[in-house]
Amino acid sequence: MHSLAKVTLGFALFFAADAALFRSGLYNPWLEPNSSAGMLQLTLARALKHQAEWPEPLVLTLGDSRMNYSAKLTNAYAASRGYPFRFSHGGVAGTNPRVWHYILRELDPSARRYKAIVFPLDSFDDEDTFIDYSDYPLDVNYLALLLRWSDLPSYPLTYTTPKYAREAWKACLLKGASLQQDILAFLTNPALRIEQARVTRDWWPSGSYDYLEEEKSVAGLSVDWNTGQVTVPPGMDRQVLETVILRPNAPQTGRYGQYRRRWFGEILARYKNSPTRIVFVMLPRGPILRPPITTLSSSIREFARHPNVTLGDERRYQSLEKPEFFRDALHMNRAGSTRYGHLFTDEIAQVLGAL
Amino acid sequence: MLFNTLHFLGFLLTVLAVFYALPLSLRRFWLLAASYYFYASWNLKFLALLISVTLVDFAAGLLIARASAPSRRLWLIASIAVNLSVLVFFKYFHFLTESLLGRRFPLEIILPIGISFHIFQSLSYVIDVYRRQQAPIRNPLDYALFLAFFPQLVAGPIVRAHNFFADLNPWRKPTPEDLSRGVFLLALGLTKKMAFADNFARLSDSYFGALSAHPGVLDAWSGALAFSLQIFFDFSGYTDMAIGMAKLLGFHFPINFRRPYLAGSLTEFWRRWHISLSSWLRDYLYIPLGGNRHGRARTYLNLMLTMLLGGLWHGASFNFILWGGWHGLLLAFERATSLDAPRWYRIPLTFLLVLHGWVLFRAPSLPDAFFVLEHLWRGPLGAWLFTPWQTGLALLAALLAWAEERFGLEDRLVAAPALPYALSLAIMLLICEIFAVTDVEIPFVYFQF
Repeated sequence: MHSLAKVTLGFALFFAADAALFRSGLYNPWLEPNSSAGMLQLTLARALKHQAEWPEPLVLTLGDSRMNYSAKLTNAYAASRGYPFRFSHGGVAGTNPRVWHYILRELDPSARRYKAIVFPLDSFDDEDTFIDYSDYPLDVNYLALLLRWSDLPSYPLTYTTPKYAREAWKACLLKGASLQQDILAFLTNPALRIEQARVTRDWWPSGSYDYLEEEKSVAGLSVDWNTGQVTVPPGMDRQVLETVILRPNAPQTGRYGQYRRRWFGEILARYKNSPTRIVFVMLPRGPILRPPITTLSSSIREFARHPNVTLGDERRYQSLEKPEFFRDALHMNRAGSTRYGHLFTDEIAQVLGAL
Repeated sequence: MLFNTLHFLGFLLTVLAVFYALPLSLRRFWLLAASYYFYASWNLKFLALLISVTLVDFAAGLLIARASAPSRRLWLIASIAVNLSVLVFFKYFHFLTESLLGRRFPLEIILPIGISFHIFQSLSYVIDVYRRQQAPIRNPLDYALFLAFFPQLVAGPIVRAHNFFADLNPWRKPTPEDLSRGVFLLALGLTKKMAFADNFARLSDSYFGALSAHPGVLDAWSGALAFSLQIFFDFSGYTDMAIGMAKLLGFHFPINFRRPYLAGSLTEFWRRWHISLSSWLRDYLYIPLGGNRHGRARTYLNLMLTMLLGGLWHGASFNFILWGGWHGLLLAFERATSLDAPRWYRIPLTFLLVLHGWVLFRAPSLPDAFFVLEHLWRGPLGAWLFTPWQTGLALLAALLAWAEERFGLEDRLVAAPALPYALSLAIMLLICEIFAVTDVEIPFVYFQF
């Protein structure tokens, strides 16, 4: 055989071996369960299990760590009200619309599997922050196993920083290289990893579904925006407070609006002719509200033009935006998430015509 | 532009594509332009120095060939003086002034990358012309390419003129075997460097960079072993890539490493380690000093002198001189005693002696080196610093070295039918994919020489 053909065959075998080990799902059970990719795989597995085991029409909720609506209690509430649907959660802490697009591609390849898909957001306005989500490096970690060869070159081209773009190329092209740190940690102590992964895998579907938020609250937290006087309750992390609530306003350039249009746009395009309803609802924004700022746009309100898109009531959860319903500057506590679950369930039932 | 970067991959693919697209008569010019670009990518000023050395030795070669007996010698001495002056100034100026005069002059000297290699390569040409073993090169661009050819410009192997020009004039298209071997060696070298050397480098750097934090015996053995493995995989990986690239361009470089840690003696070690340097030292230093032709004492002295200068060639520090002296001493001892012991005993013993030498080579200073040497044999037990998979890599390396020694694995795989060849290529790439250090760029050890 010609030497060029031998070399080509060598490269083909290399890509085939990479695919056999890391694209086939062979390695997935051994992923570090607390890693970004590991959490996402566990969440996907749980959502697929719900698809297989739950006969009711499913409403998929996405979102980041703030979407902690006590799934078991919320579904119990929905059942008690006789609503003809059940919630399945596909959100993962730290994720955003770009990652949600790929989660949906994995969970709902036909774009018809769910009765509704719900995106809880902290604002329908496109407020720019100092984080550029279009160039957010952690997304590659979450998507390490979901990106495909066919995502080349479109996915890496969404990054502007060359280093992040390189990582994105790697994640699409060579899974082993993308998962390298995980694999080396696995090889450092394989027995420990296998046991950790097994325990988490066994616990996760029911454990995460049954999970109840902490009871602690940040009651007593207050900010006087006129004087800048801040009262921090004992035990609250002042640094988190400053990062989240007291953060300076970023210049409003329209960047976040573009980002949302890009990735929610992808999602809406996939569900264009689907019977699945796309619902944007609000989250309680926090224990303390920041003074409002003028943003350049509201991409979410623009999406309401799509026939299968519904926007929730933007003021519905204002009663929960109090320190006693939050455990820190961002996340609801048990009382908050339980109340949110009820209000949220009723809102979705209303959207789906079940109320 | 390190060999193990995407920048270099782009450069190499461009060089290959344009090289084969050009008519034969233009290819050497393209290679010279590419080589100069490669060298200038570090620092444009280096290029001026390289061109100066090229012009001096090109002229020296012609003058020596034309001159009669006494002038020949003068031209040779002039050329050697210029070459050594350049080397001494750039590499040893501060070391000599500090050692001899006890002061450092406020002069910032940047060490041109690979200077020791191309100065030695150029010197070998001039001496060969003087010895009438090499015809003078009459085309300055050919001579410039001989010195600047990018695969071996910065860290060897030190190529002899007769080998290089046999490939250049006339240039012959690489055979299918050359192409298969070229790609195989590129993949092998990349794997050796990125998957093996760089991982061992992290370990040895963390040990030698914080010696006081690692006072144990096992720590010392871990650090010394890690560096022994790092330097072998780093340098032989570089050489494999250099030889592989040269093959893809139709040039055949001499082998530079033959499983040196399987040597059964120090003499054998130097026939297997950095062969192009050790043969250079033999041909242009040891033999001219008298070699073994003037009795035992003189032979030992010549060995010691050759190894001391070989040590100094590596760098301007007493560590390198002592490292050379250690090897000179052991070579002289071997020659004096001619111990007869079974090979299974001699191989680990030789490796242990070499490993102790590497401590001198790697330690940041002489006191640090003595600290490590002491802790190899004395102190609290400490901790084994290799992770299980790093230990696995070391064992895999030992297994592959044994298989290569026993079965000539590389030759067999290169000559094998498509499937075994492709499988071996795929396995190397897979090892590289999973184990390569990619978050930091670790330069090749020998680039500093």
